[in-house]
Amino acid sequence: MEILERINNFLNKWLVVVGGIAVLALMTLATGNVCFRIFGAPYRGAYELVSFLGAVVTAFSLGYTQKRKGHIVVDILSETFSPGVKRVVDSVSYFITMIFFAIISWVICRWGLRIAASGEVSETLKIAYYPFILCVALGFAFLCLTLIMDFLNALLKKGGNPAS
Amino acid sequence: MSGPIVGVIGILVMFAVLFLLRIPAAFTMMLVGFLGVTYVTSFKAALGMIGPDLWNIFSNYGLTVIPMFILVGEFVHYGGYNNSLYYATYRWFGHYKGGLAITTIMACAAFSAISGSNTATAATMSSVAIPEMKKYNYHPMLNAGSVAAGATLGVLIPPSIVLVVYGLYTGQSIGKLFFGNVIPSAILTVLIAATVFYICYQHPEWGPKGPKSTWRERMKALPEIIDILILFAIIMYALFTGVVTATEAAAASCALGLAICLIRRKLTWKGFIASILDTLRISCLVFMIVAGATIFGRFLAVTRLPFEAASLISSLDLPNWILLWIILICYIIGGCVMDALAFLLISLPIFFPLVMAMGYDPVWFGQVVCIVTTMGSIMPPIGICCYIVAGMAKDIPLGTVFRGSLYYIPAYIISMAILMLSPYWTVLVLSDLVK
Repeated sequence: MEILERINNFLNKWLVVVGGIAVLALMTLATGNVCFRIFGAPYRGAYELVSFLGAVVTAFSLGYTQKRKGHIVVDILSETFSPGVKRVVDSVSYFITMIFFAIISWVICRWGLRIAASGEVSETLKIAYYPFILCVALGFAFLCLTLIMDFLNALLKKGGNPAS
Repeated sequence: MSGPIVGVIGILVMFAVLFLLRIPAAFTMMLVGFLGVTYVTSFKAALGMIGPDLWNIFSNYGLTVIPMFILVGEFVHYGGYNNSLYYATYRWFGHYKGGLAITTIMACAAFSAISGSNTATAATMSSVAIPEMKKYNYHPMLNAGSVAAGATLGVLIPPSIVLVVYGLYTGQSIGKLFFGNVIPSAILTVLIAATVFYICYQHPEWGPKGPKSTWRERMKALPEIIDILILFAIIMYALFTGVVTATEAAAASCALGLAICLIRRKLTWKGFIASILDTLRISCLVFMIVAGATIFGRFLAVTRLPFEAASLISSLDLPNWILLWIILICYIIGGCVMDALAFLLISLPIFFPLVMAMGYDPVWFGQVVCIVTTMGSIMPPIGICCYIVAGMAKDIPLGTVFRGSLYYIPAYIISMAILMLSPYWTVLVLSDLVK
């Protein structure tokens, strides 16, 4: 269990590092394009690259945000539950969401591989963009992994963690 | 079972899951939307929809403006500009009765001009304003209530994340929405400040006067807020002229904000890393809510519920303004029980076509919705700003924060009424200028 936790933390940490670099790259690229435009030579591919970087930023933060319990939960009713009931409810909700995001990760991965096989490229830069789709699939896979950890924690530890 | 009935059942199931299973709002909308599409069409069709849909949202160029506006706010926050803003406004307003509370509201408004988030504004301003007001024996209700109400300006004053999401969801120009927001923001800020005067008139002992600053001290404090004004001006000018996209304007202000913080040696390495981490977390939260709402919206569209509801309500023999108030009351109730942004996105597929059918201007409606959404963040029982303020001011109970915030609710209602009385002079007069 502890080893799993450590692996999850390590992998999510690296994903966040890449996500952080992506957000700074996004800022630099979009700002650079403003400067290029002032000099009458905007970079045509900026629009596409910014979009792809945006996808990386969000996808690679999915696991980290879940780990920090950063998503909004409406606990107005569930606050009144006893700790035991909360633990059961949390286990069920983690289990459902973990299955759901595993499916989503698999669907996006399959779709990305299909795009790769078809040789589809982006409109302006004419580059293969399937790696970015696979990054989104990877982000959801790490969200799923974090939910598995949350599920195991809620199931095995006394009290359990709240869903958020 | 007819499509619209399936849609209504879907909404009920979503609320049941949301309230009972403690699953985050974004995940719930996504899950119920996905299962709903599966029910109405097929599992294969739902699978075929969700992958490309999520990719399209995550790689949406328009949405990349969100991490940029969050990042600039975080740089300014970790750069410690909250202190500068607070003490600069204190020099101007501190000597009035309730002057520290007014200072807080004005400083919140100034901070909001660079931050699009009410939670960031609440956390930032709580740390500076609450101890100061305690020092001058301000009543806890006035103290905490003014910080919570002031913080709501974070999502109202441009750059506003709510307006960005509304604009992208309904296809409205972000520039028009931001410019149309200038007068409503000013009206609400003045009304919130006027509420402080009213509270101090009713309870003079709640907000004692502070020491008066000299004119020299006041003028000397102004350069402290020039950096923020420059950043705000750049964003607004760029959006006004339309020479750059909203993302580019936000990114440029972000780069400039970082440069200013570094040149003035305000941002530490630790602060820089914290800015990035907070940006990733908040952006992810917003993107997932947008994704969840999009997928849930798709399910509702498949059931034809929004169209049927729109035609049903428009067939009622009621004046438009009554229908509009009914919609706004739904938003107020919705804002009381769940996160306002999430509720906004859930409800837009239903209410937006209806409001358009009534002939209202989409930019104007965006401002009204933004104010009502803003109000949700101080409404009990889940007003997020009150929770943050109570968390920061350890010795002020949550109930006191909520009670203190309730004084400001009429300010929001009056603002909405003013917007309804004159859509042109409050919103369209400026939004129509945007190219």
